[in-house]
Amino acid sequence: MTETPKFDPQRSAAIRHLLIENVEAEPKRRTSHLRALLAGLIITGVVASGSTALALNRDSLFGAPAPSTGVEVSTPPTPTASVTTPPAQETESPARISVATAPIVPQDIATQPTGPTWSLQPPGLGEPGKLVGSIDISEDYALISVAPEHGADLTSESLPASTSSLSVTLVNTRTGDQVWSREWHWDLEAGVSSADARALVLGTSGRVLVVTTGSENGPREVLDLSTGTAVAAFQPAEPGETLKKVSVVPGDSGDVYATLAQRDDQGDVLPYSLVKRFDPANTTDAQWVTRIDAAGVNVGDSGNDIGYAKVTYYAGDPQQSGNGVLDLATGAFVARPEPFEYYPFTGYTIRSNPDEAGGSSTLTGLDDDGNTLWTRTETGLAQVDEVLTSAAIPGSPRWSTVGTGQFVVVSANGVALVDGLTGSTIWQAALADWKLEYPSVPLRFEAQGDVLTVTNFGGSPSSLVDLTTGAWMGFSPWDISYETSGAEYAYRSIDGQVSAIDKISGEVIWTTDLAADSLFFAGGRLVATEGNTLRSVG
Amino acid sequence: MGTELVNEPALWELARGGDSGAFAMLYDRHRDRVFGQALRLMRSPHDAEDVTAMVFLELWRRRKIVTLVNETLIGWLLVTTNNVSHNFVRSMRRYKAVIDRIPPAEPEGAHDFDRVDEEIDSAGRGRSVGSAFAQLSANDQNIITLCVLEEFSLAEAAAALRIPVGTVKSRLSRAKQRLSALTTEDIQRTAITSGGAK
Repeated sequence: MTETPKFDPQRSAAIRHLLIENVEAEPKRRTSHLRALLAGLIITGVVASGSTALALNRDSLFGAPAPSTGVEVSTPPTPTASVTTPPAQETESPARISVATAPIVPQDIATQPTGPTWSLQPPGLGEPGKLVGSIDISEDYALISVAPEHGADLTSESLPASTSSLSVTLVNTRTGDQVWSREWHWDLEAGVSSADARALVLGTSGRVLVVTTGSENGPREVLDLSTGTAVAAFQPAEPGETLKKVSVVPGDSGDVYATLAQRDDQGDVLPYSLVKRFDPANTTDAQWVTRIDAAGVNVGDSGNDIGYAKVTYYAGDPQQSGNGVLDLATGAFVARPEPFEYYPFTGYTIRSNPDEAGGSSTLTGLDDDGNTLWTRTETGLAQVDEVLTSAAIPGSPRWSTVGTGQFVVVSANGVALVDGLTGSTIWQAALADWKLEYPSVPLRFEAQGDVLTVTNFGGSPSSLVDLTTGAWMGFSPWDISYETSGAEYAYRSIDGQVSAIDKISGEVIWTTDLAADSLFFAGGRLVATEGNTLRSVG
Repeated sequence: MGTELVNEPALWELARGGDSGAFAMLYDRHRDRVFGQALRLMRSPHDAEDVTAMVFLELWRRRKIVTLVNETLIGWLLVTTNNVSHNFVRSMRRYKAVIDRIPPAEPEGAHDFDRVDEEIDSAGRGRSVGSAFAQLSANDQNIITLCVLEEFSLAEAAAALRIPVGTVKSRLSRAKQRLSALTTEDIQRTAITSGGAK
C-alpha cells in the first residue's frame, strides 16, 4: 500500500501566513480590537426584541431555551426614501396574475410534437456567465430570470467582467406571450467579479423582490408581479450596515427578513448582526429588529409555511458557536445548545436531533404552528428524505417539488417509510434488500403511482420499490438520466434531439429534432433554451 | 446533519468581514480536501499545493459572492479547485506575486511524477480513472467531484453549482459515461503500450 502525498508542512505554513497577510492587507479592516472584544465575549444565547413570551409558549417548536447571557438591543430603522424606476415593457394587457396556491402539475407531452409553437428572447439569455432560472407562478405562467452565474469568470477565457446584468421576464408558457420584461445593467465595484442578483417571489402577495448581494450597485426593487412595474426601491441597509441575506416570509404578507452585518465608522466589523423583518417596500417600519450578539450570523430560509428559521452564529472561538431558532412572527430568538436540523417537508416539518455520540437521532414532527405532532427515535444518525412528486411548488425555484406527505428514514436499522403527520411507520425494509449500505449515499425518492423510484447518487444504479410494501422490485431498467421530469415522462436532450421517456420502464415514447441547451418545466409547460432563445417543446 | 463544534457559516461571516484568524481557521479546516482534489488533477503535489493556495486566495478575492451550501464552503472550494486547476497557468499569472513568496518546492523529476501517480492511484485501474478524470471538462469534473467523490446530495450539488436538480442528474449521468469511456480507452491504451505487440 502506498502513502498518499502529504502537504509539505513548511509550504503549508507559508501559505497560511500569506493568506493571513492577504486578509490583513485589505484596507478598511482593523481586526485587532474586534478580536479583543470577542475574546471577552461569552455567547451562549441571544435575546431578541419582540414578544418573547409568545415564542416561549411554543416550546414544542423551540424546546427548552438555553441560558442566555446576551443583551437585548432593538434599533428602530432610520427613514429611507422610496425610488420609482421606469415602467416595465408590457406586451400584454396587465390582467392581475397571482401566485397559485395549489401545486403545479407538469403537463406531459404524450405524442411526438410537431415543433415549437412559440419562441422569444429573454434579455441576456445565452450570454457567457449567465444562468437561466424559472419560478413557477401558476399554471401557464412562469418568471424567467437570466442572472449572473457565480464563478463565471474563472471558467471563461475572458478577463473578469466589470459589469453585470439581470433580466426578469414573466412569460405565458402556453402561448409564448411575454407579459412583461425588466432588465438591469450595472458596474461592478473594484474587486468584485460577479454579484448574486436574483428575483424572489414574495409569497402570495402579488409582488416580486429583485435583490443583489455582493455588489452594492446591483438592482434592489420591489415589483408588481402582474405588470413588472417598480412599486418601490428596496433599501434595507442603513449607514454602516451591509446586506448579507434576504429570505421571504412565507404566506401573503409580502414581508422579508434580512440579515445585516454591522460596521463602525472605521469600517471595522462589529460583533453583532441585526435581523429585521419588514415589508421590502417600506423598510422604515420594521415589524421587529433582533440583535444577535455574534459577528458571524446566518439565518436560514424558513421553507414551507413554517413560521421560524434556524440561525447559526459564531463569536470568534469555536467553543462559542451555536444554533438557535428565530420566530418570524415576533423576532424572538432562542438559542439551542444541541445540534439540530429542520427539514421543511410538505405539510409538516421534521426536527432532527442527533445525540452527541451519534448513537441515536430523535425525530420530531411539527405542524406549521410549531406544535409537536409526533416523536421517533432512530438508531444512529438518521438520514431523512421526503418522498417527492413531480408537481412544482408555486413561487419556488423550478426544482422545488411537492411531497406526498410521507418521508423515508435511512438509519442503522434499515429503511422505513413514515407518515409525516402521524410519525407512524408504514413499512420497513432491510438495507441489504435495497442494496444499500449504512451510512447511505445521497438518495432521492420520487413516487409515481405505486412505484417509488430511488435515485442513487453514489454511483450505483437507481432502484424501483413497491411503494405499498417496500419490496425492492429491482434496479431501474434505464439510467434515469434526464434534464427534467414530468408526471409520467422524463425528458432529455442529446445531440440535437429531445426525447420523452417513461420514467418507470425507460421506454422512449418519442424523439424529435430539437436542439436544446436546457429543458425544464415552466408554468407546467415543457420549454427549452437554445442560445438566446426560449421556446416551447411542442 | 452535523455534530461539529465549529459553526462554519458564522466562521465564514467573520472571515469575510476581515478576521484573518477566522480565515486561517477555514484554511486549516479545508486545506486537506482541497489539496486532495487538486492532486486528482495535477501531476505534481507541489502544483497541487500551489492550486490549494490559489483556491484560498480566490476565496478571499470573491468573498462577497461566495455562498455556502448546507452550511459549508467545501462545495464552492472543490468546484473552484477544479476551475483553478483547469486554468492553472492563468491563475498562476494572477497570483504570481503571492505564489512567488511561497518557499520553492523540492526539486522533482520524472521519478516524482511516477511516484505521485502511483501514490494517488496505486492500482492500475485507479490510475486510469484518475487520468480519465483529469481529461474531463470542468463541468464534468465538478459534477463527479460533488456527487460521486464528495457524496453531496442532489440538492446540495444543485445549490453548489446553481443549476437545477434535473440538470445535475443529467450531467452526472453523462459525466459518468464520459469518465467510463475515457477510463476504458486509457486501460486499452495502457494494455497496448505495455504489453500489446509481441
